[in-house]
Amino acid sequence: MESISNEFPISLRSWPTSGHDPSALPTLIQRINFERGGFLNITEESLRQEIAEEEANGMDNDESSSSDEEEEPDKLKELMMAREELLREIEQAHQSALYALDFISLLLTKDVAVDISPLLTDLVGPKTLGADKVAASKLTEAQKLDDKQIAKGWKAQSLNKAIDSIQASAERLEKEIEHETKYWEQVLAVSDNGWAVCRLPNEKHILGVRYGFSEASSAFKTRSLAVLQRNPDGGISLDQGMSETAPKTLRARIQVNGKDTGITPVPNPAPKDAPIETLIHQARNTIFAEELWQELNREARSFAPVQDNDDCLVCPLTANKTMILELVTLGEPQPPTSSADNDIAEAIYLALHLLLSYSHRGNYRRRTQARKPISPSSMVEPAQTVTLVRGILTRLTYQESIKQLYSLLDPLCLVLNKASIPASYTRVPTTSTPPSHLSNAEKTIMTLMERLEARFALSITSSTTLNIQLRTFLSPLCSAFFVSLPNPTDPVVVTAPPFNEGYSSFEALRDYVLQATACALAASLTPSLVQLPPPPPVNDGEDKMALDSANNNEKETESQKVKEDKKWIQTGQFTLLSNVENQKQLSISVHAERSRDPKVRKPGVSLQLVWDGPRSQIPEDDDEAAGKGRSSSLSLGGEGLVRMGDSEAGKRMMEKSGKRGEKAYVWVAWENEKQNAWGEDEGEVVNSFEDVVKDVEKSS
Amino acid sequence: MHELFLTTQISNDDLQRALRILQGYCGMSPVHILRRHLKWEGPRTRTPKGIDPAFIQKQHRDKVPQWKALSEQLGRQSYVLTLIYDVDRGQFGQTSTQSEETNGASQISGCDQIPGILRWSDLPDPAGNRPVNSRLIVNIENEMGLCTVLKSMNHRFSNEIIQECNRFVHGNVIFEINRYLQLPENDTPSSIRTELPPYESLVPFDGDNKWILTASVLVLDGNNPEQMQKGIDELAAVMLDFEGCFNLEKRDRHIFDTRIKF
Repeated sequence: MESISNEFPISLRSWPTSGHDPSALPTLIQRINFERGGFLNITEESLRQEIAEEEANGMDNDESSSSDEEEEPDKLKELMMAREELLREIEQAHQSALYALDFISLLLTKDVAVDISPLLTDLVGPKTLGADKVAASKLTEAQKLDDKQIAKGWKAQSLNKAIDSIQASAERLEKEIEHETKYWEQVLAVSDNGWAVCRLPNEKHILGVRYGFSEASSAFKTRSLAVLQRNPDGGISLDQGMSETAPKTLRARIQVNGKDTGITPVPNPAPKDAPIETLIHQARNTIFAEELWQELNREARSFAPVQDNDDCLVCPLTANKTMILELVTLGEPQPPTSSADNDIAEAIYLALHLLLSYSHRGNYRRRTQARKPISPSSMVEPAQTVTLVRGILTRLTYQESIKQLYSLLDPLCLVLNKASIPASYTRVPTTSTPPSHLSNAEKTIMTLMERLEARFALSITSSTTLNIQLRTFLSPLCSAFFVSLPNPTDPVVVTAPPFNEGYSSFEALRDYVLQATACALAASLTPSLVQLPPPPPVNDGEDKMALDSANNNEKETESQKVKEDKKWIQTGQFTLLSNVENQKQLSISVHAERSRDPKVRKPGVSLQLVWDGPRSQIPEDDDEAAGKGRSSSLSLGGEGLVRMGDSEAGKRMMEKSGKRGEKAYVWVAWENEKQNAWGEDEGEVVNSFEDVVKDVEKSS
Repeated sequence: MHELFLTTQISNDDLQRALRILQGYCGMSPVHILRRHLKWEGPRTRTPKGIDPAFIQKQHRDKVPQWKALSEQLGRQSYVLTLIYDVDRGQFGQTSTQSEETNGASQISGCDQIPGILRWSDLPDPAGNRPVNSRLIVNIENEMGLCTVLKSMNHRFSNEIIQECNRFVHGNVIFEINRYLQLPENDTPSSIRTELPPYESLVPFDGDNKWILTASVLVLDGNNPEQMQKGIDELAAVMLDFEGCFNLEKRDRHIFDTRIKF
């Protein structure tokens, strides 16, 4: 190595490969062609001028950059350097003082015993240095006085400087104290208002506020901390760091046939200089909305009714109403809408927020319960699903099912009442209670969303009562109807037994109930097919339905003799009866109807008696086709079908049936129809079921 | 089932501070629990019998393994067993109007009519290199008629104590700040009380009214090193987090000895 001179250039770089050499001729030609469009316009003078200009610009840039650096000095670095310099100076002064002390001590050892440092003792030994005055001082008294004056002046000047410096520091400290006081007052105000103020986990000297939710999913929990930054004037500002996003909120819209009919309002964002409390609230609302949005999207992936469509979620609510959910930035302009369904939009918006809070409560309860022992199965945490839109749709399905039940039972009882059959229905209160350890808020949500159940008791005749139970399930989302016959001697047990597994659709239930009604009416005209056992004892604990059935049994026993006098017997079909005396056949049927008015498609029920011939439907006439519907119809003494009705139009109409020898009597009732919807001048009083049957029995 | 645990003491003056610290650490409000602990001593014999196999077979199938494990332990050695019943503050100081409760049978049936927990815990394992105490335990929960069962197993009721507990949960770790309260002297100390004295008349078991902070983790299979290590790691992390605040540490295992010695 010594043989190599210092000027010898040594490079540790690898030898450049020809393929990547920027100065290679092909590369240069290509570059010149690309940058300058060929060699045509390039001259040596122009290149020199360009280089000179670039150098000049480069110097300017350097100057400007250096001036920028000067403008923004690194205070911390400066402070550290000053501190190091100060320490160095102090150390140097300390060393100098020690040397001086050692020197004087060594000098004094000649005359008096003075302790000197052991190092000096070892090095030179005591009494090895002496001093004598060799000449008198040349300083005159005047010079001494002058020196004293100069010293005084320096001292005074230094003192003045020190005072100025201390005053400046005091003023600065005073301002700093004011700012600190202001800052801490605001921090305390934040804390007093219930926000959790804590130190940042990684930077313990910085205060933060936890504005998020402790039970949120982990991604949002970690984002829920913001720095309470102190401004230069002592004010406080919220710094959310990397997680800071534009404030957002969830917007719910309702659309009918593609047109917006309801929307939730989107507030304007708070200005940056707004009170800290407002900013924290806004940050909290934003993180909640973002979590809600994430959970809604997660739910949409596994819940078919919700569709993800261009940054919004679309879900049908009813046949013609659609819900649209989207995450929007605060202050975003609202699309023009009518306000007809604003209430629905707002209710959905609130319900979704409540359901996410409900899910947070559930997380808290699970987290704070003692866990099961550590085992292989407990090491895998099951993923928690949040019920949001599913909860709303479950409730809507339940309400729709209840509505459907009323739309069946109302007109059914009404039409039977019109035929003087004392049918009625009651809604039996359900007794399921949510778990007692839940809070009232959780109980309320659970009651609205889970274990949805309704029970109805439909009494058709004295011996027939149907218990209808509706259950709506959260997952899978559906309604099921279960029918039971509390009276074991009920003739319907034989003629139309209910399906034990329940009915999964309302249409199936409706068909069964109508068929069971027809069977029950037919059974009331024929001798009983079921032998009556002794009435069962009624316990106190049995429910109202059982009591009703027991009462029905008693009534049935009383009317047994009357029944046995009937002249009708059942044929192969339970709703088709045959008269033992005149051989006439009587068919009883109950049908679901729907009014023809296209604006209001009211559901209804018709009860039909058809005799003397094969069963047939009542032929529809032009008025029905025109949508007026029919309220009730009657046939008297074989004159043909006489129709009385059109309760909606309030006028009566009479006409005759087409087929000869085929007679029918029809009662019709619509949902929400009053008991006697027609006026006194609107027609004849409708005959009762019993009267019509007697007429049929008497007619030859 | 194994219980891994660490303990420390907290003075009554520091209780509120400790509660606040744990409240922040666990992110939950303390769950306040009051429990009756009825101590039952096993027979003083070197050849104790376990539990009647016919009785074990009658139990719910989910609980049969626990009863079998308990029978196996009680067949080798007599222990002090504990019956634990939840009580609330309102039950203290209430006088019973039933005159028949004075006889022994009704005293037992009083506790038999409510669900309780039968708890057995072994002498903790020798420490070795483990930084925590560990012991085998059996907890049979939500069981009726436990007093009668223990009577039939020739166990003798010895004493009763009230546990006042504040419980927190942090992952798999359960923190309990406990103190034990003695009931005033009874006319018939060998019988189970039918009514609890006023709460104010209870005397702390510890003369200085100290509280015991226990951090514990339950492990289903103590022979599974992976499960045990997970439990130990969680407790060690807690110990580290509270370094300088709570001196959670492993104690001499003989403090927790429940064996009958004669």
